[in-house]
Amino acid sequence: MRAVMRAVQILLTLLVLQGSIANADHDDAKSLADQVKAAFIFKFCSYVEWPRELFSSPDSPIVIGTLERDASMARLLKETVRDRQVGKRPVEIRILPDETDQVTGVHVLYLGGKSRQIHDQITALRGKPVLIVTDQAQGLEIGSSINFRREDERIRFDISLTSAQTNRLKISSRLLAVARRIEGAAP
Amino acid sequence: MKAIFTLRSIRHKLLAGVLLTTATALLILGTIFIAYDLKDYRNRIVDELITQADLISLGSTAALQFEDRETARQALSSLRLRREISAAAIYDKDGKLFARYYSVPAHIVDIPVQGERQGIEVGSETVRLFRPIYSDQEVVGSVFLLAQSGVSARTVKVMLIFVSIAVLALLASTLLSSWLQARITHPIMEVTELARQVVTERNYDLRARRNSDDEVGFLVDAFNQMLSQIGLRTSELERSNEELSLQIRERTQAQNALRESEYRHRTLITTLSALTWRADANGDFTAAQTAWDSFTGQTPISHSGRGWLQAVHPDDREQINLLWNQVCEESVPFKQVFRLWYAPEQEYRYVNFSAAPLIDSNGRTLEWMGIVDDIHERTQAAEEITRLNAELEHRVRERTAELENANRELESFSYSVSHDLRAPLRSIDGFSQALLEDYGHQLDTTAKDYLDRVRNGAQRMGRLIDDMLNLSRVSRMELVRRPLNLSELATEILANLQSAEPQRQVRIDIDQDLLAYGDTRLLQVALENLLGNAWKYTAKQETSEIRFGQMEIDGQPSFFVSDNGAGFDMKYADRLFTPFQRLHDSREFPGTGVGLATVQRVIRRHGGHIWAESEPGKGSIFYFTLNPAEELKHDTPSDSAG
Repeated sequence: MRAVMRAVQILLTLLVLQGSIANADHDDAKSLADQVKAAFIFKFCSYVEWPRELFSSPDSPIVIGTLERDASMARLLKETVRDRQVGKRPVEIRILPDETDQVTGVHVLYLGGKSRQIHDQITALRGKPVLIVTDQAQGLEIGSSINFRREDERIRFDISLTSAQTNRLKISSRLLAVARRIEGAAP
Repeated sequence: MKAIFTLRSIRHKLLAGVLLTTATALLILGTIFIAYDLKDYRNRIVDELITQADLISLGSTAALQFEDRETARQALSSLRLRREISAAAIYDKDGKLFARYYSVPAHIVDIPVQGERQGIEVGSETVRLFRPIYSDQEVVGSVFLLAQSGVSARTVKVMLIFVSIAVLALLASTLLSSWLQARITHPIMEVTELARQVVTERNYDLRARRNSDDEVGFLVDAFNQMLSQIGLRTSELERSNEELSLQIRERTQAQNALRESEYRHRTLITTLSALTWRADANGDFTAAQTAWDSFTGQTPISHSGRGWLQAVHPDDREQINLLWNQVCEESVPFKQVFRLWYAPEQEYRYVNFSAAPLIDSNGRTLEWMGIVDDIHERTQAAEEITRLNAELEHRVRERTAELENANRELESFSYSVSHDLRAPLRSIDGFSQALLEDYGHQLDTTAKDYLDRVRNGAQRMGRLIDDMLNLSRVSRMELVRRPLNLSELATEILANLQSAEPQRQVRIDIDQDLLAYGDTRLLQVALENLLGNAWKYTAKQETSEIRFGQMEIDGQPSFFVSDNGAGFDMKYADRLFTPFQRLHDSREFPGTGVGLATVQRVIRRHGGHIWAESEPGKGSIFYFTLNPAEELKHDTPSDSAG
C-alpha cells in the first residue's frame, strides 16, 4: 500500500513537474528570441555606416539606446555587448525614458512594442543619423530602417533603404543579402 | 651496368661523358624544376582556394551572424562555376554544419559533420581546406572547401615536359659530341691508329700528321718527337744489346777458355811426371811431402825445415841454400836447375826446381809451392847436342881451311899455266914462224906443211889455255852488278865478228833495248861465246841468220840466241855445257869445248840458268835467264852504258 502511495506520489510529482517545465519552455522561447534579437542588434552595428562627424575619434563608442519599457531587452543587450567591440569601438547601452522625444547621442535605437508613441518618436528622428530598429508588423511603413519579423520560428528582418537614406545611414550590401525584404532602391 | 663503363674507345668515353653530363644536369635541373613547379602549383592552388574561401566567408559572414542558412547556401552555390571544387561547407562558431554544397551527390560523404577552425591538407588528388570566418576579429564560423588538387595530373604533365626536354637535350648532346669527335677525337684516333701501327710493326719512322694548333696538335708534335726519341733509343739499345751480346760471347769464350785452362792445368798436375811440393812462409818444408819423399827417399823428419837440401847434390847444395834464403827474403818466384838425389836409381838427376810464393792482399807470403821437374834426360841430350855442334863446327872450320888452301893452289896453278905454259908455246909458234919466214925458201912443201901444223897446234893450245884461264877467271871473279843494255852489247860483238869476216853474208836481227842487271865483263864473255858459236856454226850456210831477243817462257822473261846453222842432236844436249865436250869435229868447226861451259858458269853466277833446243841441220836456239828480281832494279837505258 505504501508502495502504491509512493508510486502515486511520484506520478503526481512528475505531473506537476511536467507542467512547470512546459511553462518554463514557453518563457525560454520568448527569452531565446529576445536574445537573438539583442545579438542581431549588436551585429547590425558592423554593417551600418554612420556619418563620420558623429564620432570624435576612431574608438568613440557606439551607443545603442532602448526605452525603459524594453528593460528586458536592455538587459540582454548589455549582456551581449559585454567585452565586445565593433571595430575599435566599444558599444554602450543607454536606457531612455519612454516618453522622450529628444533622442541624442544614440546611434541605434530599439523600439519594441506597438505603442502609439513609436510612430511619433520615429517621425521625430527622421533625418537624424540613428538606426531605428522596430519589432512590429508595420515597422517599415512608419519609418523604421530595420524591422524584426518571425518566420518559421526564426528571427528575420526587413530593411528599408529609404528610411536609412533619410537618416543618412549606409547599410552594407552583405546585410541586405540576409534581409527578408528590402524596401527602397539602392542609391 | 659495368659494360657501359668499360668503354674501350675515347670516342665512346667522350660521348658517354657528354651524355652523362647532360643527363646529370638535366636530372638536377629537372628535379629542382619539378619540385619547384609542384610546390608553386600547390601554393597557387592553396592560394586560390584560400581566396575562394575568403570570398565565401565574406559573403556568408552576415548569413552566419544572422543565421541565414539560405543565404549561406546561395553563397556556396556560386561555387558551381568552379568545377574543380567538388564540395564546400560552412560551419558555425561551434563547428556545427551550417550550410553545404556539392558538385555531385557522391561528394556528400566527403563533407565532415564537425567543422574545424583552420587547416590545409593537400593530397595527390584532393585539397581539403578549413578557413575561419571572422567578424571584427571574432571567429563566427569556418569554411570548408574540398577541391580537385590536380597535383598528380600536374606531376605527370611536368614529367612529360621534362622528359621531352631531356630527349631533345640528349639528342643535341649527341650531335654536339659527334661534332666534338670530328674536331678532337679524330686527330686523337689518328694518333692512336699510328701508335697501334708503331706497336705492331715496330716501325719508328712513322710520323703523325698535325691538323690543328690546339692541345691535340701539341700532342701530335710530342708524339712525333717521342717516336723519334724512341727510334733513336731503340737503335741505341739494339746497338748496346749487340755490344752486350758480343761482350757476353767474349766473356763466355773467356770463361770457357778459363775453364779449359783450369781443366788443362788440373790434368797437367795430375798427369805430370813432375812432383809438387809445399813449404811454409819461411821456406821450410811442411810435414807431408809424399812425392818428394818417394823421389828422394827422404822421410817427413829428414826433409823437415831445411832438411830437404840434404837431397841436393853436394856440389850444388851450398849455392841453392844461399839462393833459397835470398828468395824467401824477397818472396819472388824462383827457378833453378840442380842435381837431386833419385833414390830408386841411386843416382843424382838433373831437375828443374820451380817455386812460387802465395801472397795475400797485404803482400805477406802465406806459403811456398812449387814443382820439381826431372829434366835429366833432356839435360843430357842438350849436353850431347852442344858437344856434337862444337865438333861439327870444328870440322867445318878444318874443311874450309883445306878448301881455301886448295883454291889458293888452284889459283897459283892457273897463273903458272897462263904464264909458264904460254911462254914455251909462244916460243914454238914464234920460232916456227921465224923458220918459215927466214928459211922458207930452203924448205920443201912438206916441211912447210909440217911447220904450219906445228904453228896451228901451238895456237890451238894457246887458245885452249886462254879459254881455260877465262873459265877459271869467270868462276873466281867477283861479281860487280850494274844495269846494262844487252842489245848494244850484242850489236857490238856481231859488228866485230863481221869486220873480222867481211865476206860473210849474215842477216842479223837484234831486239831493241834488252835490259839486264849484271856484271858487264862476264855477260860480255857469255854473249861473245853464244854469238860467236852462232857465227861459227852458220859459216857453211849460204845466208846466215842470227837472232838475239827476249821472250816469255814459263812466266819468266828469257833471252835467246838463235841461228840457222848446223845444229845438234838433242840426245847430246846434256853434254853441251860440260867442258871439253864437243859435238862437232874441230876440223869442221874449230873450238875448244870450253865456251858453253864458261857461258853456263856466268849465267849461274847471275842466278839464272841456260838450256838449248836444236835439230841437226836446222839451226839451234840457246835460252838463258838472269835473276829477274835483280833485273827489275833498273829500267833506264842511260844506266846500261858499259
